[in-house]
Amino acid sequence: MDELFALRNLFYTGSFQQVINEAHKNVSISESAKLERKIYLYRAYIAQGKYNIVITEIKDTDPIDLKAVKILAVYLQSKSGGQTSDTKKEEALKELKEVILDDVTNTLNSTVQIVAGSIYYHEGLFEEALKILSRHNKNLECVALIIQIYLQLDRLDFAKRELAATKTWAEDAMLAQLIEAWVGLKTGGDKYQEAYYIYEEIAQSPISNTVKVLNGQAVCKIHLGKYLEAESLLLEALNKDNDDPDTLVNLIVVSNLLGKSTEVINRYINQLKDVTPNHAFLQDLDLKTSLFDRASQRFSIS
Amino acid sequence: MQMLTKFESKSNRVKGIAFHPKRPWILASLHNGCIQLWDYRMGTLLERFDEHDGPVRGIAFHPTQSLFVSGGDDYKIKVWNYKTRKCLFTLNGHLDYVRTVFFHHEYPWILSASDDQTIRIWNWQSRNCIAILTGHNHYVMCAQFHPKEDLVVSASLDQTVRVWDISGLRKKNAAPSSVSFEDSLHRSTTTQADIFGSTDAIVKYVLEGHDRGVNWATFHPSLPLIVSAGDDRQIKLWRMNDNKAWEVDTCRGHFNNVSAALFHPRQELIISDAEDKTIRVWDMTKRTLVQTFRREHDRFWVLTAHPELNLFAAGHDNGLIVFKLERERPAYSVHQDNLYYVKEKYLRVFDFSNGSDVSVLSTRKISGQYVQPRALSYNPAERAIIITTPTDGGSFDLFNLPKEFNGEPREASGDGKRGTGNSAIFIARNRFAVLDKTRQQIEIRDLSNTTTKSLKPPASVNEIFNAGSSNLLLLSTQNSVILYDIQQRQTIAEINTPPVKYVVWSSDHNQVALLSKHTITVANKAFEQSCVIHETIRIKSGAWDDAGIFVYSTLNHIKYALPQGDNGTIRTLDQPVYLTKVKGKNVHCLDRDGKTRVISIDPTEYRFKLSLIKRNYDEVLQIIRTSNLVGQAIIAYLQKKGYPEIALHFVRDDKTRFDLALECGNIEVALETAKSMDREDCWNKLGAEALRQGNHQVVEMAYQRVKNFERLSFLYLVTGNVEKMKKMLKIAELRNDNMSRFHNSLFLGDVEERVRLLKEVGQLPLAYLTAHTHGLTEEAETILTAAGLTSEDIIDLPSNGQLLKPLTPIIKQVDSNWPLLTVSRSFFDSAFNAADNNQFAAPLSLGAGEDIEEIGGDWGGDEDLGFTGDAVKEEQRDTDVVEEGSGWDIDADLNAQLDPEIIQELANGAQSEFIPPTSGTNESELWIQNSPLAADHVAAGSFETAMQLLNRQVGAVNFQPLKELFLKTFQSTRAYLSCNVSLPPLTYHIRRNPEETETRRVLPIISNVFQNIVSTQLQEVYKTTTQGKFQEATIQFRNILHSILLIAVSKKSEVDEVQQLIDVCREYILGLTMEQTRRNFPLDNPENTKRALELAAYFTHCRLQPAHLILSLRSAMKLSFQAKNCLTASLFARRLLELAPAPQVATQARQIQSISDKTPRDEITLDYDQYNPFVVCGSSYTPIYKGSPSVECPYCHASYLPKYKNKLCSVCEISQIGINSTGLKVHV
Repeated sequence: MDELFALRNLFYTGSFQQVINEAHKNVSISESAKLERKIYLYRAYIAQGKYNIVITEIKDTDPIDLKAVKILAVYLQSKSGGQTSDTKKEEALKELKEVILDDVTNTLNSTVQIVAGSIYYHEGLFEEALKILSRHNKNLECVALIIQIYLQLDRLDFAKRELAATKTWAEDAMLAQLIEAWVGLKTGGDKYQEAYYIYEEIAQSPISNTVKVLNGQAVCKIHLGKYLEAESLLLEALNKDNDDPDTLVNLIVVSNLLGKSTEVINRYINQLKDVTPNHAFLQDLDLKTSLFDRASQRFSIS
Repeated sequence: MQMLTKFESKSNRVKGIAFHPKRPWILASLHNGCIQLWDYRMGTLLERFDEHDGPVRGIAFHPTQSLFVSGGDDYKIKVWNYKTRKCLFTLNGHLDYVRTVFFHHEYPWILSASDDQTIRIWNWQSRNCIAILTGHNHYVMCAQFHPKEDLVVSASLDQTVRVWDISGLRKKNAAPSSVSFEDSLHRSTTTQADIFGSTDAIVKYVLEGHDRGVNWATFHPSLPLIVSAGDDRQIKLWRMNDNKAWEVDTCRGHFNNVSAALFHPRQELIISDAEDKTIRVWDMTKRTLVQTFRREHDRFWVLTAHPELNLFAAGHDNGLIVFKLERERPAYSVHQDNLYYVKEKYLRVFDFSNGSDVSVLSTRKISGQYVQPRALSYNPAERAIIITTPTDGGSFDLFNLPKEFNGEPREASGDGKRGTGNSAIFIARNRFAVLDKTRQQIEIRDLSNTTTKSLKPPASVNEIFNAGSSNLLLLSTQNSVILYDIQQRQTIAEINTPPVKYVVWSSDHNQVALLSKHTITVANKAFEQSCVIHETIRIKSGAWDDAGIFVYSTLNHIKYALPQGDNGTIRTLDQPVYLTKVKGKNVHCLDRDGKTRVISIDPTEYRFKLSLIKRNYDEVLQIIRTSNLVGQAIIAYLQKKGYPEIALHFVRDDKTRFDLALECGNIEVALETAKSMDREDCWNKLGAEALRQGNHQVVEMAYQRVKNFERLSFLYLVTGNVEKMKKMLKIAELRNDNMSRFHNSLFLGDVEERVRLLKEVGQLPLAYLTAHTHGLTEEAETILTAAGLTSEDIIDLPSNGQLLKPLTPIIKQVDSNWPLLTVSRSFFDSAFNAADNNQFAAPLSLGAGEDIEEIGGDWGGDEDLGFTGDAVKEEQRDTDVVEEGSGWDIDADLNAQLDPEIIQELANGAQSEFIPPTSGTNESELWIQNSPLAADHVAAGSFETAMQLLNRQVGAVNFQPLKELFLKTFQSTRAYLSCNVSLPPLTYHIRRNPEETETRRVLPIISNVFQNIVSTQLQEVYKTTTQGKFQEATIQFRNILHSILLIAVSKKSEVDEVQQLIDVCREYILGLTMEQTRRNFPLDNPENTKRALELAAYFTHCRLQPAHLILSLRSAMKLSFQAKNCLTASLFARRLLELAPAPQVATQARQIQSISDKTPRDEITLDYDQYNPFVVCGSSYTPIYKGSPSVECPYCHASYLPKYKNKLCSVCEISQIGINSTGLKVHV
């Protein structure tokens, strides 16, 4: 019996406040589950961007799992933060490498694996991430990370293989379903519809009808060419959280595909610039703008 | 006229012959009772049929079915199936020799003539005789059906020729098919009655005239004529009409019995052969002898003509000959895009570029009546032509061509420029060379046909050819071709070859092909031979492809030859053709009837091979990707030519892939295929190759798979992999392989183990010695004690030895491979890798790493730890048995009992070997690969290639206006989805073909939808135009024009619509900008007024929507009227009224018209001629009348005056005016 079943699903669907609320309830659970609950609590804070709570609360005496989570908090804070952050980021990376990963036993700890995998992912060190994540012992979250890396690397073949292997031991878990949807959306064809069904099923429970899940549904709808339905899903998501960058980006896409006026689209773009100035979408756009200028200069009346 | 022998056979006397109607076969029935089936084209005997007893005289093929019939001196008629090679049945009835047998062209009838004085008609389906024609009172030598009518002609030794009417028989047999039993019974009885009553076939005419027996009689194929041949040495021509027949004339000349005579199927000729050993050709109208062909020793017995082709065959004492009476190769010559050729006595010119084919000159005068011109040489500078004919032992005629080919052929100007010579060719603008073969002299003549020079060739020359330069000639001799300098009179080069009949120069004159009967010799300009191609069948003609490939035709194939001599078949031919030009996928040729034909071919194979030879690998790759080249032939070719890595791409069979992969050192593919085959010899080969390259991880796996424990141990030793060696030791123990245990402990330096082992196997002295020398004194003592000995009993050990200790590995090579041998990775490996991320392109480290991990897992499988001791022991007991089983999977069991510590370490070790994959192909890259559409490249973010595409397609140079469009298109192609918590979202590429999962066909979503543009944007801009917001409308139209650059339509039909929309936009932009310019003119001086009027007028000629056209006409009309240009105003009014405008507009127009018509003249003369079609220059807004020079915008096709060439198009503002482009692509 998984004591943290509900908590996990809340976490994966992005209901972080719920995770925090649940974790604070004093439901008596086993010792090992208590640690895990704490990990989820802190990771939920991190996901909300409340890094300082995590950094101040976790002490050096805490178990290695929590220390790893703290490093994640330090790293992500520095990444999102101001100028002084670079040194802090280096420190976090150094600590990760020297304090945690040097001890071989630590590398078998799944929290450490997840934290290290996530940080390396942010750093673009996919090989490092895969190396450490591949040591997991049937940890679904590690698999999820591995598959995201494979997808990021455009190795759909590997992702599919990993997914097939995972399904043999974790068919029902919600995270496994989500992974299947991620892979399906990269595959295309009938898989688009299947991915939508997965997200739709998850969304049926009101508590998990989160921005993240709404976005998932919307992305499926976009792929299926149903832009109007996608738009209404995204607007619902925007109602829940009007700062969610994914929602904004996907709205930009849908608005473009629906042929909306430039004003509407630019409004979303500006909103995105306010919320997440360094979003990959915006970076891409900048890159392409300058690319356009450079490339177009090569042509002239001959 | 000449006799061109195509085939000769040697055999017993040939009494009957028959051509197959379609295939190149001929049947010969022999005097010795045998029937032979020959392939006269290949010259081979295909079959023999020996069933007749005694001579076989009659033979015939069925016109459509796989049957033939024979009749012999054994009185039998046999019907055969040549496919099954069996005699189907025999028709018995004749009472004496059967002379001839023929099938009816339509009914299932056989007609036979016999010495029993009867002619019989048989139904070969019911297999009975249906009519007996009696009347002749001597042997009937020949009986034949009329080719169309219900007639039979027969010849008999009773000196008559008889014509029989068999319409009664036909009517009876063509009766309704539903016949009752009684009817058929009745009919069969009446048939019987006919034998005596003979009403079905009645004698129509009896032709008397021959003084001796008649051997042969036959009908003319279309005219009411009969020709007969008899022992009176005469050939008689008979004519008949509905009620009588009479002798027309007699051909005399043979001086012995005439065996057969027939009409030439295509010309007005009679051909006969006789026992005087001659074949003679007679003019049918003049009844004069045309030609005699004599044979030395052989009397002729039979003669036949091919039913379809221009071929004849005659049987004689010692075999048969197949021959034709004229060359069928038209005389022709190719110059640039024109083909000059002679067809049916006319010189014709065919234009390859537009397919026009005109007759320009009658050549009737030149050649004899029955002689085809042989060769033709064209002089482009003087438009002169020389035609060579074999008449009078070779002669040539020089003509001047008319200046223009207007389709009306002219009589050749009779200035009589002719002369004798076997071969005459132009060598320069004003000179030609003539070869006189008999005198062996070459004369150089000028265009007035006077000899300027004459020279003796250095060898006996058969023919002369052009050598590409004015003072050079190619001389074809019996065994070589000589490149001869006419001025210096010396040989420059010589190539040995069989007699060359034709010479074909490439269009750049850098290569020449010399065609002999069975060989092609290719040489370069300097006449250095580059290759020789041999063919078993006759080579007919050839032409050079622009890429340097020689395409040639044989009797039955079109083939190609590559520069280095490889050749192959392109397609088969039914009939020989003469190639004139190769243009891309089309081969132009002349057929035997002198018709120009175009044969389409698939040039993929030879282009592929050519690209390989030229090392043009980009193109090779391109061909591989876009074409469906497959097959053993191409694989074998690639392998033979040393391109195993390309061959690999075509092969799916594992074994072949494996071999190819090893050949090109491609370990990944070899590994992958070895795994799927899992055969010991493959693993061994793979191991050897991997070792050679230094890839010891693969070596390890190969050894593991074949359980090569010794090598494995040694491999671990040299790679310093102590852990694995320990494990090998364990395995050796489990396998009870003491030798292996000893080896491994030796490698490990594990003395205790060695001592233990030696003790176990009872080698106590050695055990002691080992223990002692390694300083294990206690152990040594124990051994001694156990053996009941003391140290005193041991003799002194030599002390000069050294202990064998393995070296300690300093660098552990476990995790990484040795520095790999550089395998020459060709262009293709990387190209294929990049191109398709399919299985066989997996990167090296990936394939190896992954599998070693897999093995590693087995080695140290965690699950196995769960075994209880007992189970382990059981397993252990089983190992001996299992070992003989299949393989490595037992290791999991073996591992079970290994020390957990080692296992843990091994597990870690194994995991550290995990090597992550390299990145694959991004969807954007797929999009770029999959589409030639600019929109798709933009969607993929590849702006440079998109711009290049647009530049190529529509000459686009100004991209600034497209910036927003580019970015918009690009940014609508990617959705973002957050997957793992606290990780950046993944990018999801949106496809416009969501149903597609094949990576080779996925395409991006394009936000610009053509239908939306039409349904919303266009309607909107029409509205804006109607509202008169011209500036705004211009911008909107231009936006549409720009949007179209980045669209992708799904249906082919929409491509045309896109073009229409471009046209609409262009017309409106042009019109609207003109109108805006006009409005800015102050009408204060006449010059301005004139210009304003002109612009208003031009505006009415833009192709606008009727509503807008009305508006433009109204304004033009009013302006003209106000400026008192009444004539023009009236014209506008009329045009306006034609469009049925609103009532008040119409009223106004009528008023203006009526007022204007009173003073029909213009105050101001305009540059405007509405009756002369024109387009308006997009820049100067002046008319360009039809036929005047203009340039176009490659995108919007706006026209401009030539001076605007290379400027930016002011209509679309995108493209450069007047440059070449391929056209916008909007459909994949």
